[in-house]
Amino acid sequence: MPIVASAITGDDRQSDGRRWIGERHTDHIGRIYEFTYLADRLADVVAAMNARVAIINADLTLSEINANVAAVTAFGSLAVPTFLYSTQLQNFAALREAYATATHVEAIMGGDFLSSLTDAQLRTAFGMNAAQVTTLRANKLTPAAAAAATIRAASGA
Amino acid sequence: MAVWFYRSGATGTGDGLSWTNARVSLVTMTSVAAGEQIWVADDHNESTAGAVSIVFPGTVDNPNIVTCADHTVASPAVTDFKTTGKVTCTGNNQLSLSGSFSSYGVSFQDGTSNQTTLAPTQGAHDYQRIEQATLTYASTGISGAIAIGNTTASDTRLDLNNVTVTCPNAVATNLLILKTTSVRWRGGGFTGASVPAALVRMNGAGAPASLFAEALDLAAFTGVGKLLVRGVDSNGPGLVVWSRCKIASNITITSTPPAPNFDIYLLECDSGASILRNEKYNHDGTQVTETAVVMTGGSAIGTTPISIKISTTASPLWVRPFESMPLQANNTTVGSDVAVNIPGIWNGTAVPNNDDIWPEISYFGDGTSTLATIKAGTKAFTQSANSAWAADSTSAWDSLVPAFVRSPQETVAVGALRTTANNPGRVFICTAIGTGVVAASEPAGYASAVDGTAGITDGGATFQAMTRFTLTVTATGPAPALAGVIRTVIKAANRSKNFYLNAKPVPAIS
Repeated sequence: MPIVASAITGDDRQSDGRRWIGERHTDHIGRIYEFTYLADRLADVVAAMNARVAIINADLTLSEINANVAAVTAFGSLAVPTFLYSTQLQNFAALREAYATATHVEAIMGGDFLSSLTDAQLRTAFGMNAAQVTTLRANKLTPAAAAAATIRAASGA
Repeated sequence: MAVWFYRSGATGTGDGLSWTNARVSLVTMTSVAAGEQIWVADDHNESTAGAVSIVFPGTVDNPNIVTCADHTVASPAVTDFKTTGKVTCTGNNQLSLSGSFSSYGVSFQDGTSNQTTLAPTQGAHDYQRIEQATLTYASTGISGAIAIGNTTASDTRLDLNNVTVTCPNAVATNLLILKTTSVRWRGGGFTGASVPAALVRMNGAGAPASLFAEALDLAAFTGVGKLLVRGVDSNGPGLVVWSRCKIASNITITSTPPAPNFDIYLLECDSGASILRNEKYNHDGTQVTETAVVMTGGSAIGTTPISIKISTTASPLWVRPFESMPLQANNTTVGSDVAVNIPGIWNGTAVPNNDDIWPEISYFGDGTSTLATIKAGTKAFTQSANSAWAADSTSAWDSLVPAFVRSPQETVAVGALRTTANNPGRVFICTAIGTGVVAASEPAGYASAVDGTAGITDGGATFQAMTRFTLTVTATGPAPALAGVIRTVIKAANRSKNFYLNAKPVPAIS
């Protein structure tokens, strides 16, 4: 899980009894996530901090997946996905879903990226057998890669 | 101009020229021209088991006027207007709205499967206004949203007047996602028991988006860890302002944005009848209103003493400090220098330097125009030497900070603030804990502490005396040449520090 350390950095009681709470969470690569909120007088801020850890972890995973999918649909095989907070399997699942509804340039770029994967990776990503992967390449991915190459080569000069 | 009629239950010719022959779906816009009136029946409840794309022919300066009205009235007047029209799509389908229009009383709801979206302003330069309606994200999945604008359709604006948003079927990750758009939302709010993880996310992917929200009832947007704005996952330049809204208690306004191009403001919003909360959040820090660590005789809102508390993150730089909201003071002195002094206190062990925190003032130094003169009370260059601010040994900051409780012995956390009658004027901050349980009797270290004295062992906790200082910048060279407001922005660059500042510059100017 990404978050490896969490701490209450401030518990500042106000004149009406409420408290300004500061939280600091640090992930496994040293990034810091800070939160400030006004808590009720008797709020269990430690419990709230601990509950937020799971939310941050899920957010980081989803955020990285969304960023990876956006990069793939924008840049195709030139995209460089990251896997700091998410797994390849999680990203394959999201990419599969995005590709299924993609149109126009996003479909071309998605296909271009998928064409750069190995057959084994495609079998994993789509739950296909070897023959199905061959068909997918022939019908979708190879044409998409060619279209992406055409787009990249286009020039107004 | 023609006038068009829509009623999902109509059984006539469908030419749209009367209620009897009304069109059954707003998807049908044949022959409708920009600017024309579109009546939607009060019992219009259009539901499509497929994607719905409504493309209004209206333009940004000539939108279609869409009004829900009593279908028993041939030519509805304002007294016949209703708020019960509805357009829904079901299944794994999106409902999108393109073109420019202003609607009254028509609600919209997207499909019910994962990844579906309700998507207003999907066309370039769209201006859309939705009034007295509910926008429902009906998906059962977490990945869709009410997606306003998109990165391929630029320059859109969405006005929401008395509009409620809801997501009854799922705990969505983000309920409103803004892309390349400007949204103004006045009245309405959030409703429902299913509360998304975040209400708003900016997803411009490099394209700007803004939200100005006023008079919203967001009390139902509640829960541990819920965010009004998902800062950490927001992309692109952004600005979000919440003004005079009702919010839930214990709600977190935002997570820290990953880049210094996104500001979130909270103006006079609270869960109860307090008007004190004025806050700013961004990548480099936060500013909130403080009501305990306040300077005696200092600033107040009404009769409540306040200060501003600036907490820097691990990110600010001297070249890119956290900037407070402006403090304003009316100046009537013309032709003579005016010194702006701002007392403060912080959790450092010595007075801060002028590159840790500093004031920047804007005043009228040109007697022939409103061209501002700006003076910054900091060093000239990154490479310049800094200098320490003056210590303040007279201001008292302890009047509203709680005293230690030693019977029974209280348990404190890091960051807890306390005072002692044996050292008036000073505030002590907990810097470390073991058990956190304070001693049964006050340790001697408190009485003899001076500003910045650290390492005061108090049972299972360690305390430090906070350090008082005064920020000063002078309106000089030129002196003020016109009477008027002197605006002061406090800039803070020392990372991971808490500064408390009197919000009223003193003395001499009121």
